Amino acid sequence: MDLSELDRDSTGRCRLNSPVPAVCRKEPCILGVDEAGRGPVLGPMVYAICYCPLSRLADLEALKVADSKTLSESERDRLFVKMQEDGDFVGWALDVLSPNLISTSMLGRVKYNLNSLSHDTATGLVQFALDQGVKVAQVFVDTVGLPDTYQERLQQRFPGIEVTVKAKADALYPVVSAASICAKVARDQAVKNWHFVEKLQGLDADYGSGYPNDPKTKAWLRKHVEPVFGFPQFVRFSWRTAQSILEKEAEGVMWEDSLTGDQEGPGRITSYFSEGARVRPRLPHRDSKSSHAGRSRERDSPAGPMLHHGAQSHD
Amino acid sequence: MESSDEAAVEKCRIHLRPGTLRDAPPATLHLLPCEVLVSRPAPVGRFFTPAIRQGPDGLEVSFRGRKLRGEEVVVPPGLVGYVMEEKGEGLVGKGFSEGSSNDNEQEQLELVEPPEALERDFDRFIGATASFSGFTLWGLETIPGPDAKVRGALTWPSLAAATQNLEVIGLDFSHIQSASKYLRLYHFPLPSPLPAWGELPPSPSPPGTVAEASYPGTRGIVQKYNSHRVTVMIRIHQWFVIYSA
Repeated sequence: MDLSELDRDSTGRCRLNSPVPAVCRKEPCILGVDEAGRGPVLGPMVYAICYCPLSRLADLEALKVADSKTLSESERDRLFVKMQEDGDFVGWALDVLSPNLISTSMLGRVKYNLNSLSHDTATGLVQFALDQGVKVAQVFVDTVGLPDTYQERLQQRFPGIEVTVKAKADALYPVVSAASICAKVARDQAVKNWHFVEKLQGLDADYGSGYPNDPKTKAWLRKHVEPVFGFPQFVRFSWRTAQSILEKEAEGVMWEDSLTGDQEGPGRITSYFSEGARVRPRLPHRDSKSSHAGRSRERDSPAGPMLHHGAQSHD
Repeated sequence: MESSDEAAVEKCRIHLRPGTLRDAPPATLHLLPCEVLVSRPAPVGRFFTPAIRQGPDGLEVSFRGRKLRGEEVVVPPGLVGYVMEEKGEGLVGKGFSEGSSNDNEQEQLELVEPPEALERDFDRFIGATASFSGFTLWGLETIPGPDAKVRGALTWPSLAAATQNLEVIGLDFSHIQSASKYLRLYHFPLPSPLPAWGELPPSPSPPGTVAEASYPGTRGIVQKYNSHRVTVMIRIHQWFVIYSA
């Protein structure tokens, strides 16, 4: 799988797709949608579609595709190769959503939650297949959130297509299993070859599963906290795990819309607005106490809108 | 804090170490739309700069998982920006010596010399640690644009020049987000401590005020001046920016 576009810039999203098999432009097709890497606090989330003509569904099943979670990494890789070999009737496309895109969406002024992001990405991929000329007749989707509302929404969006949204669709429908394999292969590859935007020193590649409850992942997060910038963009800042580590181990940051204060309790927000509680540096100000105690503003006073000073950065 | 603030009003002089202006190396500056509640060096070159992208609507980056859009702001023509830091205590005034103690002594001689003798707890020193001709101004998800308050503040030097006999001594960016504050123009000497936002002296104006003007988001101290030179000092928290024309 060629993820070089992602390697070049891992700050946004990247779409990748197989050529459309000619037969898929002629015959009614079945299309599966699934995702990989929704839960982890690290790395991208990948959405994938896989499709084939209804008439060739048995051939896809013959590949013995299964829910990607029940397969080993090497089995998934092998199956993905087979699907490539069957490119005369199997097509796929995927969207890699970088952790930075996920963070900035979820932490936006107007929050764009993960479910909406997921729904919109899935919808976008189905539309992409249609735009490419694939004659999509049926769509099967592994649900995100409530299956009924999701199905209703997709059905409204694609009135000419028969939409089925189900929990565990990746285990029930081979075409969804195939999509889950595409997604998982891409996610694994992206994580393994992640090109960090930052110039990191002493980077530890052993971040465990990336799931928040993995002690290895947590240890990695703690180790890679940068007091001012927080984490590398490989981390989803919007995850509670990431936020709580930042609260303890990084410097506080206040935004004009005080969104980051949501998790920090009302105490810290109110203290921001109360003038008395803030110790702000003032040039000509000096009281007898501070002149004896030494000027400790470097450590304990809030900075204003932060002006990074490149010449002084301790690179 | 007892009444020490009151006492400090009477007893304060700030001296600029002129030598530091000569040697100040050029710096790359980013003004973020948030407050980091600490002042410390940060690995900007490793974490921030490499993540900046040229998007369709200008520069893009993210900070702490939030999207920022930015644009370059150029220091008005004829002016130079300096990053100023206060270091050292009173007379001793260490902290700006980059080399040997000889340099330090030399700098002491170069001080804008006050008519009176230097006094401990009375005289304070600032010096430039860097210079700049522009900086990147970042907005949360939107480009700050022409209405950005920082841009408004940067028009003060030309205002000061136009009104003659006035010197802009300080523009305080520290509360750039609070839009409804007032700018007041003061006579020299500066009131000390400089009033913080929300603490500006109530009307009637303090003695020595020559003019008052409101300027949303910025506080300027404009001072009567009797030469042709116009000096502007902009304070962005501990970052002081001095313009000279």
